[in-house]
Amino acid sequence: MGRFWSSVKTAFFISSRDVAKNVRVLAIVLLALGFLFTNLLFARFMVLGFRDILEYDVIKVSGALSLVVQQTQEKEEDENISKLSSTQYKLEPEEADYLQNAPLLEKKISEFPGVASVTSILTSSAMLKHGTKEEPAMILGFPLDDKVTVLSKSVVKGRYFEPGYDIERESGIILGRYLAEKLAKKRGKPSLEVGDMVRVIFRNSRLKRYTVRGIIDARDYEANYDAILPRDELQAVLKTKLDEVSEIRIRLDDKNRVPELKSAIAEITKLGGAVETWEDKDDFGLPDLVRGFNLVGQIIFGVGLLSSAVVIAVVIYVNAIRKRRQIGIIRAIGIKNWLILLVFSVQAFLLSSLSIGVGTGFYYLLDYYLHQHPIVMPFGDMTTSFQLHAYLVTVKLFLATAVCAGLYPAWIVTREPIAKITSEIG
Amino acid sequence: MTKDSILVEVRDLRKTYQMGKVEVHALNGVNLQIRCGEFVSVTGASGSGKTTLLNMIGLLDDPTYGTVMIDGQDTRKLSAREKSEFRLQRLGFIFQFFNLFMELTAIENIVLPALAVGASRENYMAKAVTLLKSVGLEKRVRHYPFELSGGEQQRVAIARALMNNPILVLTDEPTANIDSVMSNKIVDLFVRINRERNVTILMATHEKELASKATHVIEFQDGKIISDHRRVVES
Repeated sequence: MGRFWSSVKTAFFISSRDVAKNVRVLAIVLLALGFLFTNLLFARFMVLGFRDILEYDVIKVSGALSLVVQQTQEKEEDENISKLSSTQYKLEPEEADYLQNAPLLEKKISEFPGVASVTSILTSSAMLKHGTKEEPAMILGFPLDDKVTVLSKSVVKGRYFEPGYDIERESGIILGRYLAEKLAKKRGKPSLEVGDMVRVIFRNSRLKRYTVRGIIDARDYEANYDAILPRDELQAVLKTKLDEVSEIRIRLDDKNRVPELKSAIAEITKLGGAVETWEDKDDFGLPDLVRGFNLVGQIIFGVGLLSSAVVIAVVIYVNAIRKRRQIGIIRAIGIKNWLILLVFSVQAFLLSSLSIGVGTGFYYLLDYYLHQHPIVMPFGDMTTSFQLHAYLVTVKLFLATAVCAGLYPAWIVTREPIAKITSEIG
Repeated sequence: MTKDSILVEVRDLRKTYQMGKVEVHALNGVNLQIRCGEFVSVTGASGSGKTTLLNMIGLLDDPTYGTVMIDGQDTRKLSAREKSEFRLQRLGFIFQFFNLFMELTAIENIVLPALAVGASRENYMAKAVTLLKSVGLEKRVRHYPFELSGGEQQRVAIARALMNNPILVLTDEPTANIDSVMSNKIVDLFVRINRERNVTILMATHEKELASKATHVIEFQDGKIISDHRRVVES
């Protein structure tokens, strides 16, 4: 055992001296490997960042979880067909559209550990008109103290509804950016502006006039086509009961707990509705998009890892060839092949460890810059997403690749007959 | 092991290399005995078989036929791993090119074999300093090889070869890369080490003048011994 540790110490001793011997060469090797490591981190964390933003795009307007009205789809379709065949088809089965006992459900959910905030909303399809231009849209009735979504923080023109807002006095409505633009087109304007008038025909055929109070750009395709009213106002227009809502949106402390909390919340609210995750709500093939990007990221990561292996193998091979004579001599002295392999493995380990430090430094700078200047995408600001677990996996893979890449050329040199090397010398 | 007992015995040693379609007989039935404490020089022209003989005795290569007994041990029966261990513990090597690790100081180069056998730091450091003194390099302890002359580097290599107290030191053309004055000094050093430490030395050299300083001179030609005589040395 003492001899083994002595050998390991010897290997570290020789390797560290060799690595530190030529500072200029060391600096170049570290820069090359450091950049490769940065590239590995960047590829991984940019994909994670992209995934985050896609997920956040849904979560930011719909919450991580939603309690919605339980749909019995097949039965409903059959019923609809039978209704269609009769003349008694009623477009809106009002009672079935709403969650009952909303305040109680909201209270139960908000008491659940891991739930950050809860908001109950009413929704209604409607037709919005401005002059001769009309657009169908979804009207969202939000309570004025909504803490689940980012809609109140997405105002680009005008103002959102502040707590205590009196709708009777002003009759304000908030429009999504795209909706405001569509309604304005025929009027020769790029967009409706704050103060413009819109007429809204609700699904119960009631017509009301509203003044545009604000325009939001939530960087979300769906939300930018919606209009927002205070929930009380929508309740009054639709004449729903006070404890009826269309949906309860739930924000969580940690989106990774979605599956766990989904089942838990479904359990406590099982008679009140169905729990949907943000993924269930996604209509744009988000998982496919994320999978595609993950694949691209993995390819970039794999290629980066191979490039690192090649660079390390070349460095170690050049070193092993340069030291061929010395290796021959120390083998002749009686130093075992495994110790020589250990020396080169340790050298590869030291080089890659130092490169990890350098590469992490570069990555930190890049990460800092991207957080200061994120890439503006239609669905949000994209930047890298550092995750410790992914970082540690990358470090382990990089080290393992480096040691393997370092071992192979050294192994080739130790296979050569000692007498051949020594006779070449003499 | 007593003085004059047989340390190395070579019996009918043959080594044939295949060079393409041609067979080259580097050693052609060599028989010799080396006694304990002898300073043996092997001379002969280039290609006469000196280095091949040293490779066989140094367990760096396997003979095609014949036996090499060292200290009563039939080396044919040793595995590669055992040969490696035998070389580390019982043999010392000095080569034509000094082959020191350039990134290690003189003393660090010397302690390498001791590190490989797991010796304690106190022991090997003290011993390395003593060895450096004995080869006249006590003022070059912390010098790197590139800061030393050829002769000094070879003396570091000699000290390294002695580090694990070998029973036999093999040295192949140790003076080929140094000037004649220094060559004489190096061989004189071998003579001194041989006398003072009673270490058996087997040196291959093509320089007859240097070879004549040994106590036992063997001359090679075409893979065969053409002369083998011992010189009586006053102790």
